[in-house]
Amino acid sequence: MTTTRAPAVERLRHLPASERRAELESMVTEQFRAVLLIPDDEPVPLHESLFALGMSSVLIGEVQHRLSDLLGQNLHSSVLFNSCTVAQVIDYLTTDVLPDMFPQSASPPTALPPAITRVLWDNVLHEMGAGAA
Amino acid sequence: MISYEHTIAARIAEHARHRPDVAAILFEDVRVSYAELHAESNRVGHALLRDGLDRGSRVAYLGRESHHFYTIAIACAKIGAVLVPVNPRLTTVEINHVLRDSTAEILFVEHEFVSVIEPLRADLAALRQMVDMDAPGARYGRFLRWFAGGPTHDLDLPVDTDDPVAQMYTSGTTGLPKGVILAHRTFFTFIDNMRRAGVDWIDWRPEDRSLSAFPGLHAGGYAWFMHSLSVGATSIVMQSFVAGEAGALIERHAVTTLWAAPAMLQIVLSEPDAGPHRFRSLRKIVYGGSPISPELQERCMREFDCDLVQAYAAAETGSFVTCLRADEHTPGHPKLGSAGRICPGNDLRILDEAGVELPPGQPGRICVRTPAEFIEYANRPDETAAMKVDGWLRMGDSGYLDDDGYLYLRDRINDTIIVAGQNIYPVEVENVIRTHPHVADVAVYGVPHPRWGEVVHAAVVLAPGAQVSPRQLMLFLRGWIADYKVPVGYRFLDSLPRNPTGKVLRRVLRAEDGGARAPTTGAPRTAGTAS
Repeated sequence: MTTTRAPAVERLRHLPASERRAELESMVTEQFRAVLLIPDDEPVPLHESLFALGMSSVLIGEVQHRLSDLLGQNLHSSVLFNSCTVAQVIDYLTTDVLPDMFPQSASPPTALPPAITRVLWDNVLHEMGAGAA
Repeated sequence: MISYEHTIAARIAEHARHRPDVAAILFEDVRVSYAELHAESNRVGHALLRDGLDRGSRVAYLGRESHHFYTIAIACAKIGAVLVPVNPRLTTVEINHVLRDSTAEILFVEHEFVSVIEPLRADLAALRQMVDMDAPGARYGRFLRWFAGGPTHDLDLPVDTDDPVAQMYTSGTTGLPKGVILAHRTFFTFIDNMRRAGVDWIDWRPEDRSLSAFPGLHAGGYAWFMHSLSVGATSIVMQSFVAGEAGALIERHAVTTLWAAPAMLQIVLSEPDAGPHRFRSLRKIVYGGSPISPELQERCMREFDCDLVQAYAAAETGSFVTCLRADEHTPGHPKLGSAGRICPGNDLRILDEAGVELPPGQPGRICVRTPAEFIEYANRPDETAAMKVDGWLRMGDSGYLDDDGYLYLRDRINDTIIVAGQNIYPVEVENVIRTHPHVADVAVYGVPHPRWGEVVHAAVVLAPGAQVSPRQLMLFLRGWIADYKVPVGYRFLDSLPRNPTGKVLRRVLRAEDGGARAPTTGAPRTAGTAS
């Protein structure tokens, strides 16, 4: 699945396997830090609900694009809507997006039930739906 | 004189008579034919009458989209009642306002949102009845029981094409949503005028399978559905817009026409499983509701192998005002940066501040005359009078016409911010930020964004000695305003830039954030806004 030459991916590729997870975590949390306006001296909570962290539909779209740019490939928009926490996003990236670099990953799939996906998507619906006839 | 022909009631009865077995709605695994939709909406109409609803009554719906939403909408149309869709993603404060302002007498509500309504009920004097749609383990079970067993014969009530049929709430200049009241005629005049002119710039055909990415809870989606219904096409209904699902639905149902905002098209195109196999059934995509970047416009031309049409409209215009035709969507076409030409039956002129019409090339306020126009704003006669002057709608956008009559949008006169097609008035966000104990002053403005059209930013003046971080402000706003209205960027200033009369200069703040709204970008603005 990983076919790009995105600098971030190349950087991961050149790291020892044991260090890749930490580096990926650092890259991903920086994207969340930026959009959630979390100060540099505060940690990005990995296991707190994205919505409790202040994630909105606009911000989710923003993170999706940032991660797509970072990894050099279009990420399914359901990735973030199917993930409750930053850690789950990272798990998904290691198992489904960069599996060749994380072959030992034993993380379970992160998908949530469709009903939850639906609720989260409704935020996008709301932001896009009104206004013009 | 009653004009029944151009009513939703007349049109569905006609389709039920002449093409009863054609699918009117496809929703998940449910197929509803025109005969079934007609009979079911008759039943619901009779049940509404039974429960005391009547001509002019407001019928609210809080939930997501389904075939039942449209059954209720059509039932309202048949008895002369007015549907008030309530977006479940509004905050409790906003939902309370919509229900109070509309004086809704009955509310249909999906079960998961009942808990939102319960605390409000004591305040809602007009609300006599609430129908919880769902029963335990039976989606829509209570709703089905509510009207079960009723008669299916036609209601035969006097309904006129000028009667109100829907009250759609949109962001209000004063901080709370305002109700735009639309008539039956709104959903017929555009098609009639295009036919009369012999053009098909934007068209609906009986054989179409039509998908609106805008939900029916909003003017754009509701209008698209009713236009499709008026010709007897099949509407594909999504509970909500889901990118992967939208692409899959297009493929599964061989969708022929799609109505979407540019941001939605970008999301659909960006899905990993997007590709020609998904879109081969499409014959036409109509997009609008927010600006489109030249890059996305080019991408759509490249990747969707079908006609593309851009439209300019607003809730108040009821239907499309201008359109950039499919044959003008070619790489390098000189009019690509425009919002197109006026559609048949409409009229458009550009006025200066004194109300004098301006010649081509000179920017001013866009004014529109259209037979599809809204009736009025609910309970806001002054705002209605300011919007409708001498038969013209005074749009909230400025722009100019070129020598060929193509409209170029420049700016929004009233500082409206449009995030992916959603209007946001700065004052409604500012009012909430001001309630923060550490905030002395604030100005909210839009900054151009490549994906959303614009995003919301705030310039904040803190109280002396106070300290608050952008993140604290962001979290403070949650729950008070809908999440897409929460600013994504904050700056702290000692004072706000103001003109000599004290008016905040939002354009200065925008420019300082690198977001001057210049007319030279070539990116058309497609969302109309009321002043």
